[in-house]
Amino acid sequence: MKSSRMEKLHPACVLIYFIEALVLCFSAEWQGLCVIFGAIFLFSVINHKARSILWALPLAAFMFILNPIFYHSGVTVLFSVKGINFTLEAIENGIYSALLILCTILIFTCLGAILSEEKFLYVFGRFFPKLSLMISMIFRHFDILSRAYTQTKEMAQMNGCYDKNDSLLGKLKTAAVVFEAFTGTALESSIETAYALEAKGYYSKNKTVIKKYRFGVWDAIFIIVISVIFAPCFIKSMLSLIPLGLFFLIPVLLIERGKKR
Amino acid sequence: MNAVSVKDFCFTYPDGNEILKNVSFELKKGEMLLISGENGCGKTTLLRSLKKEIAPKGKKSGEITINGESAYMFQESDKNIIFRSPYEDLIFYACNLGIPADIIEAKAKEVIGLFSLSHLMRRSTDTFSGGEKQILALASLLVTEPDLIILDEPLSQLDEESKKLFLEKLLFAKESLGTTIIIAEHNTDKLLESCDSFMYFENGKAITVRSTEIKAGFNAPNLPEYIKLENKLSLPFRSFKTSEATENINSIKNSLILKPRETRKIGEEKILEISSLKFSYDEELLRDISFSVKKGEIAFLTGKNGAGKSTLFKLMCSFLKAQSGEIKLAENTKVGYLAQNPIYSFLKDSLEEDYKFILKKNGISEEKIAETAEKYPVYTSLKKLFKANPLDLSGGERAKAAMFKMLLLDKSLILLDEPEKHLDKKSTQALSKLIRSLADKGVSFLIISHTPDFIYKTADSVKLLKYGEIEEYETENYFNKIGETSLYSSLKACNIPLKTAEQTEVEHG
Repeated sequence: MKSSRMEKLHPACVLIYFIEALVLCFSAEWQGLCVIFGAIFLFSVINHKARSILWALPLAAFMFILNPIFYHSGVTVLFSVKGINFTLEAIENGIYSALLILCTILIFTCLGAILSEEKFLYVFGRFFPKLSLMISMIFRHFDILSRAYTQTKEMAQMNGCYDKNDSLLGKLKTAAVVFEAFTGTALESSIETAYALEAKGYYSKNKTVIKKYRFGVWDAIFIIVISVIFAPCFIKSMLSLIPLGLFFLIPVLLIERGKKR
Repeated sequence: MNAVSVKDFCFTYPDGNEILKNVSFELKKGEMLLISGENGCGKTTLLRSLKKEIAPKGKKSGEITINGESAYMFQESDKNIIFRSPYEDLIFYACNLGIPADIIEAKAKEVIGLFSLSHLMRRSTDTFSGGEKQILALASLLVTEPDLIILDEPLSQLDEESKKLFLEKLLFAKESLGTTIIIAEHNTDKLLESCDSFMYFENGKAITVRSTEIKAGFNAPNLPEYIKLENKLSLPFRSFKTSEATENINSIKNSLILKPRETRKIGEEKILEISSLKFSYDEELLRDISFSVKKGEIAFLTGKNGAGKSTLFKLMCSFLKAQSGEIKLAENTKVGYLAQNPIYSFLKDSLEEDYKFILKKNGISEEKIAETAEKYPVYTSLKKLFKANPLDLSGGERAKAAMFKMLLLDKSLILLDEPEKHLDKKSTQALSKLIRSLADKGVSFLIISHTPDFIYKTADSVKLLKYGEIEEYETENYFNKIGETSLYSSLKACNIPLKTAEQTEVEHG
């Protein structure tokens, strides 16, 4: 991923930007979404992340086609087949739903890379320290558990537990046995994890909170700039597309040239 | 003043099992105590009793005095790491202790520098190898500047290279920071020469010896082979120092020649034949894999971490599909597979239920259990454990029980992924014997392993996976090749510290 100056900002700035981006995305019309899509797609191409929307394309296409077929209200009738009217509004709606899905996915995959899990938990942890620790442990355990589950499943498979000719009920029963065995072992190992936490003094009262990020001048400037661009995006005019495009081009504009990570 | 002093410590579990009897030892600041003993001898109980937060519950007597803060490190690398972000993990313990923020930051920076961890700090802990995880865990303890570090088998899950790296860092902490260390470990060879005291358990009794006090005639199962050999040859033992062991190297060499490795006779019939196999994830991993395994052969697959050994197993089990090439099995060959942790192969709460479930799933009658136990005499002793929960079995028993399942299903080629990883020396030897006796009955094995000792004692042939290709060796040739000289390899096979061998090399050549 190319290094972006945004990564060096205070996590709160990035979080605010992220939330504002989502708000804009969900309140935009289809023309606005086209602009948003274009801007983030550019960012994703620069960062070689464009592939992440490939899996969402069929879903978006499905939405696009399905909408005019089942949604017939609207005033501008384009053509009718067997008495069913296909309206411009329905097609616009289809484009809107498809674009909304694509944009949301792009925002989460591309901009999510800037707002790393660590930064999110840093902001979140100030308000809910225990919950944030738990969330981060769940993230990690998910990796460990999925590895353990694969091992259990693979060995069960080699021991002939999965029979292709089994009935659906039989297959479900086997899956339940495998899952039960895996959770049993996982729970057993969680006792050890609890000990490890205790040995590391998790239950002590006086904990130190380390401020890894400091709110600086650039953070303040960033917040002011995005607020100035954010407000005019809601003007009911085509002119609002300019600040909207500008808002979503910020990550692209802040990319440091020539630096690769 | 002593950093740690334990006087007549006894411990009895609530179920009446008196596991520790009159354990006594003393350690000065900056000294290292090495504890060794078989699985279940009370090592972990003793270590946990030293850290009061996680002390086991039971009846205690005696006295434990520790001057200063102690830190504890667990055996499994996954337990020592809590976060995905390595820096978060590094400072977690220090933050919990309430050390001022600026001191933590300065200390963390120092430890990162000392251990050269900066390249790790940019990665997620998910991508860490076992060795890297253990090093990070050790570093996180050192941020708090503990007076005593307690380590419970930190090396058991590491490959040879990671072991070396971890020990280097640990000894560095001991030398430069003056930390007192108590470490429990099965494989004592690499540690014995650096420790100041050595404790081993014999018949439920803990015996502590200062390294300088150990004399000839002393015989414990976990002592390095060269000390035992010296005993056998009744050579006067002087000390554990490497330089002095070197002096006796010639006598050791002679004794090795007197005791050659047992070689087995194998037929010509091939059970598995792989030709020009190719596989890549994002990057090319296996370039051109070709080798074969004969019926009744015990073949070992070895190579560096990440060389693609486990991937090769997955291809053979058809969990993955190769891009090109062929995996040919002889007719009626069934492949059995045991992943690194055998516990995941058990699906039910007792061995018997588990075996019955598997047999039912494969449409075989339950009588097969008795039949198979009769066919393979090594398994007659397993019957006692049939009612036991697999979670309660020791590592060695688990591996044995899991392999029995494959015999029930008439698997004729068994793939084992580092089966010796969780085992102590005695269990590893038993496993080696078990594998050999099964191979004599016609079962073929392909085993991934990093442990030279285990390979040397068990293997018929060794396949070295290197740069995506396989090099095939006879066992003797393999050890000759990797060591270049036979002396080097024989020493390595006997687990004589490599340092000793390297020094000899220089002296001889």
